[in-house]
Amino acid sequence: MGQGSVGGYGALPQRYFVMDLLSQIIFQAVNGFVWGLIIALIALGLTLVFGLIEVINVSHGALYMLGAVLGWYMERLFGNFWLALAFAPLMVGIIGLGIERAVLRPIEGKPAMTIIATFGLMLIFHQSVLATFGGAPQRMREPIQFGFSIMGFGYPGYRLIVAAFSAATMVGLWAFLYKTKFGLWMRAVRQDREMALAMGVPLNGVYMLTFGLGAFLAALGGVLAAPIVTVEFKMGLDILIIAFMVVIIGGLGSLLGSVVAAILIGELEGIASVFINPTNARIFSLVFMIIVLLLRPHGLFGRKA
Amino acid sequence: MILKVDAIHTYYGKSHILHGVSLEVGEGEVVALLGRNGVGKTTTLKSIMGLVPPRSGSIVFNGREITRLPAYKVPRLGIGYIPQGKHIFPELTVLENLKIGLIRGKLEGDSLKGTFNYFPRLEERLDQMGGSLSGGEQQMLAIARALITNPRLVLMDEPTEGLMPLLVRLMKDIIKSIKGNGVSLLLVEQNLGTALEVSDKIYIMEKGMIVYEGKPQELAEDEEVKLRYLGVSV
Ligand SMILES: Nc1ncnc2c1ncn2[C@@H]1O[C@H](COP(=O)(O)OP(=O)(O)O)[C@@H](O)[C@H]1O
Ligand SMILES: [Mg+2]
Repeated sequence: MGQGSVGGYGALPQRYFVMDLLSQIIFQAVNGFVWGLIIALIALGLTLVFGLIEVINVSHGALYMLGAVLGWYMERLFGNFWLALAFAPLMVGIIGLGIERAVLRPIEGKPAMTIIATFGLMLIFHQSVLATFGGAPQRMREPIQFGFSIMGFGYPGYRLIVAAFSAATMVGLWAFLYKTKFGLWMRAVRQDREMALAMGVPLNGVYMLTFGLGAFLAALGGVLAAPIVTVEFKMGLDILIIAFMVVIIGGLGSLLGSVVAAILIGELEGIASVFINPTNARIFSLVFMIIVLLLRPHGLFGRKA
Repeated sequence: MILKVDAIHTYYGKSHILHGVSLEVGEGEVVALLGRNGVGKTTTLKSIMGLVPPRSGSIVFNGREITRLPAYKVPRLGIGYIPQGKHIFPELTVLENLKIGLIRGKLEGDSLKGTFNYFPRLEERLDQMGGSLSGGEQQMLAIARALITNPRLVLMDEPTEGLMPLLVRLMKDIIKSIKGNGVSLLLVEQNLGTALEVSDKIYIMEKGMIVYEGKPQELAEDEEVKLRYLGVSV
């Protein structure tokens, strides 16, 4: 129950010292919710790509890491976190467009190959960051220094802003999918790619943008998380595993399922970490996943293929 | 000539399905393509749409070679496709199903109204999911979706398949009124009666080849051809 690693996701600055057990639980519930929202962003990217292009993107965690690292550099360069938040995800999104075009399109329709290829991409990103950024974990300052006091415990204001920002991004994503022509295309492709093509939907363009969007969401999660966790080349590995679990629990390809599952997992691991070592809190998520899959083999919101 | 298909060979992977299919659709004509199950009628339409591009041969639409055009560009040139088996998008609303083909511009009041004159039931169900419609309504939606773009040529794949007699009647009227609007039609049918009634020219396919071409009156009287290729005895 060390104060140093709250929920396993980054140490709290000393001034947010948590007092008694109840306060800890409330704190972890709030924190789990915030983390759940960040994970939801990342898992949404993963599930969008899987649902539409049928690519299991093993490099998704590395794209998250790339967002954090680029964000870290930009924050130094501009001296402004919000500029980093605006530009780093865009850059990674553009890298995503390139990946779809150059790497994934030539092996379209070959699931095993796409897993190998995205695994290779992950290694390339890891090695590139190691070579430039180095292997030592770096910290990023929280862009907002004030904290809130909720029911007697202090909570960093930045994390609440992260929660609001993540929620707003999800609303934006929903509006994109349901209110724009491109979103309509994406939903049509998901349901029947051949008919979408026969209706004039540019399938390759939709694939490319979807992968770019997935990369963007991963990187956005990375920049948002950077001031909370430590920035290092292997920070995406843990996130990749959580994101996959979330997608499986929520139901493959279900956006709503991913959001719900992410928040559940965030809460579960957060509250569990009050009682056990945060690294062991993962066990609860695994058990939770197994129970969900036993009761609902296609996940909470999944449908039969 | 709005469509000229010339000696196309189409494959699914290694299986050679179309063995040099040639056919022509004149401006404003209704042309029927008949044949038993599995002879390659659907594959012919998919070849034209670029969904299964032919390995050789050529397809010319409206004076333009479209054989190797990316599939998504084909409907944009003015070819409407009504696939076999009501391929609407089940989890898009009726309105979204209609919108999907409109690559440029908005859904215009006029084309919507014109469409709903045929399909009043769709207008009442604009916000319903496509998948919640009855089979007949889904077929109507598939047709409305293709017509709403004001195509010059419509490819229809067995539109009367599985419809009750009343709807078959309606379908014939729809086909006639499409033709009445100057739109050309390539109609794949199993139902000889429908083809004889609505078409200007009939092709019959057998094992990936065109084996007969004639006027409906000629075919109506040709018992031998009907028996041999369509299994219809009088
Ligand atoms: N996607 C496919 N892959 C492989 N073979 C196919 C595919 N679709 C159709 N076929 C085969 O191609 C032949 C022609 O099919 P099709 O064009 O659907 O015939 P029709 O529409 O005249 O009933 C059939 O033998 C069918 O089994
Ligand atoms: Mg067929």
